[in-house]
Amino acid sequence: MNSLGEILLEVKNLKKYFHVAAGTLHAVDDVSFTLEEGRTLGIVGESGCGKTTLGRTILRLIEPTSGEMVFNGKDLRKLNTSEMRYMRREMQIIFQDPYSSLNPRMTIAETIEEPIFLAGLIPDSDKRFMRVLDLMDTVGLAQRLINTYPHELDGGRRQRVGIARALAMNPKFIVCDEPVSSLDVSIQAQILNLMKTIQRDMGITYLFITHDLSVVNHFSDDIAVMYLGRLVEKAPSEALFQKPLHPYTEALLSAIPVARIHNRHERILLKGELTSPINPEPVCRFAARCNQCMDICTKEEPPLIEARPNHFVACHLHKPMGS
Amino acid sequence: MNAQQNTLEIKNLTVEYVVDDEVVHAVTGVNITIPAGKTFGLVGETGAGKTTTALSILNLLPLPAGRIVSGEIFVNGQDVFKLSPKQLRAMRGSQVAMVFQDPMSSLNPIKTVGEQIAEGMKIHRGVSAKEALRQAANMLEMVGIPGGRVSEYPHQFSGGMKQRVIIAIALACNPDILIADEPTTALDVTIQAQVLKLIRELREKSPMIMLMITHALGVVAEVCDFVGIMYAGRIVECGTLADIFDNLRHPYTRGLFDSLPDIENRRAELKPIPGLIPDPMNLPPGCAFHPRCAYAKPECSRDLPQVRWLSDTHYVSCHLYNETVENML
Repeated sequence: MNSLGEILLEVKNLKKYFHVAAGTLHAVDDVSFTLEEGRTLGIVGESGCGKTTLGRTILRLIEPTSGEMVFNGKDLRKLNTSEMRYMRREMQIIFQDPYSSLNPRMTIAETIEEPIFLAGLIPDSDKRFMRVLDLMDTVGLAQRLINTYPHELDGGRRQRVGIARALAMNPKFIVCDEPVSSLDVSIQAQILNLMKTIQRDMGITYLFITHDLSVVNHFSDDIAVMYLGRLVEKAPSEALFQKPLHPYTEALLSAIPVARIHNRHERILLKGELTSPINPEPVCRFAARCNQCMDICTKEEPPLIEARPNHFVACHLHKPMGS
Repeated sequence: MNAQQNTLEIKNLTVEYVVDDEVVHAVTGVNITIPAGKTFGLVGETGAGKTTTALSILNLLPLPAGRIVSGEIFVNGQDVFKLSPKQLRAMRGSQVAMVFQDPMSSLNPIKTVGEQIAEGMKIHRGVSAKEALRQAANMLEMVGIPGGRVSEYPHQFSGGMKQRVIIAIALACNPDILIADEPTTALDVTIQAQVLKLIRELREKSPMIMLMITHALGVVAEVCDFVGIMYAGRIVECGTLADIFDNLRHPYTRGLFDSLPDIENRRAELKPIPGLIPDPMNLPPGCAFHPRCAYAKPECSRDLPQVRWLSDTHYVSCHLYNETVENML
C-alpha cells in the first residue's frame, strides 16, 4: 500500500494528436509530470489548451497517440480491455456539466448504484442500497432525494450526485474536469469544501482541471499551466503564484479579476489570442503573444527544465538549476 | 443637452412570470437610479432577477408569461411602459442598447459582422448602406479588430472577438444607456481582461451610462461605480463601490465575498453560504434570505425588512439594522 508522498501517477511524454481537415491538431504535446498520492495537481489553461484532453487521455477514455501513463506501478497502456475496466475502479472522473453528465431517466439512487452493481462490488441489493445511502450522506444529499430525477435538482446537488457516483468505487484517483465552473459562487464554495473533506478523509488524489486561477490556487498543492497542448510551467501553488517564471503564467495571473478595490496590481495585457494548435511550428508556441520574446524563441522550442527546486518551466528566459 | 439626457431610473419595479398557473416572483420592488456617465453593477446568483430587470428596461420580457405588476422605468425621463410599440422600436438599439451574455449565439451566422453592425445605423440614423458599412469598419477598429474584416462572418472570429463585435453592434448608434448582461462570463481570463479594458476606455470617452449585470465581484471591482446586490428578486444592499467593498452590511453580501477563494491566502477556508437559493414560486415569508442567514432573528421569518439608509449612497434591507447603523457582521 502506498503512503503519502509516494508517486501514484506518472505521465511520461504523453501525446494526443487529432487528425483534422487542416492537418494534425496537437491537443496534448509531450506532457510529463508525476503526482504523489493524496495530493492535488491543478491543471490550468484557457479554452483549447488541451487540459480536458489530457485528463481523458490519462484515463484512456481517449487513447493516447504516444507516451506512458504509469498508475500505481502499472503501465496503463499495456492493460487489455478487461484489466483496464478493473483498473478504472481506482480512477474516476467528475465531469464539468452536471446538467448533461447524468442520465435524465435514472433516479439519484439508480445513478449512484449503477457502478457498484456493474462492478459486482456488492451483490446483495439491500447492502448495496445501504451503500448508496451512505454515499449520499458523504456528499451531503438528503435521503428524501433518493427517488428524484436529475431535472428536479439544482446544479449544486447534481454535482454532488456526480461526486457520489465517482466515490462509489472507493477510487484512489479522481480527475475533476471543471467540477465547479457551472455553479454559483456560494454553491461553488460548498462543493470545493466537500471535495477537500473527502480528500482528507479518504486520501484521494485529484487531478483538478480548471480555467479559474483563484479556485486552483485555493484547491491544489501543485499547479501545471498548459498552453496550446504544452505544459509550460509546473510548481507548488505558492511558488507559482508568488514567483511565476513563464511570461504566460505571469500574464494569466495578472488577468485574474480580484474582488478588491485597494492594492490592485498593474495588469500585463496579452496581445492577440490563442494561435492554432494545428501543425504547430517547432518554436515556442507563446512567442507571438509574448512581451519578452527573443530571437531564439521563434527558432527553437524550449524544453521543460527544472529552473528552481521543484519548479519546472519551458521558456528560453530560464536555465536549468546549476548550469 | 438637457438634464434628462443619459439617465436611467427604475422605480419600484415588480415583475412576475406566470407558468402553469403558478406565479414566479422574479423581481420585487426594485429601485435603481444611475446618474449620467456612471456604471451600475447588478450582482446576484442564478435566478436572482438580474436579467429580468434588464429586459424590463427594454420592455422585452418574454410574453405571455412575463408581466410587469407595478413600477415605472424612465429612460432619459421617458416612461418606457407608456411608449407605443413604434416608440419602443425607436428606443431599442438607439437610446438603449444591450450586450448579451453568449457571444456564440447572439450573432446571426449568415450575415457578415459588417452588415450586423450597420443594420442599426441604417434603421435608426437613416444612414445609407454604403456609409453604414464604412462606419461599421470604424466601429470594428474601435473595439480592436482590423476594419478590413467587416465582410467576414461570425464563424471566422474567436469568442473574444465575437464579444467585441457584439459590443460594436451595441455602440454603433451611440446609445445613452448600455446594458451588458454578463459580457465577459463566456470568455477566457486573458480575453476577459482585454474586453474589460475596452469597456473602461469607452466609458472614459463618453457620458453613456451602463448597467452591468454580473455574478463576478472581481469584474464589478474593475468597472463599476455603484453596486446593487440582488437576492430572490430584491435588492438587499446597494451603494457605491467603496460602500460595498469596504463597508458591506448585509449578511448575504458578506456570504458572497466569503465564498470567493482569497488569491493572497490560499489556505484561508472558504465559508460558503449554507443552503440553496429559494424557489421563486415559493419564497420564504419575511426576509427571503433568513433560512440561510447566520444572524437570523425571530422577526426575520415574519416581517419583510425595511430599507434602511446608512448614508446618502448606501442602503441595506436587513433586520439587523432596525435600531442601529453600526456594522453588525
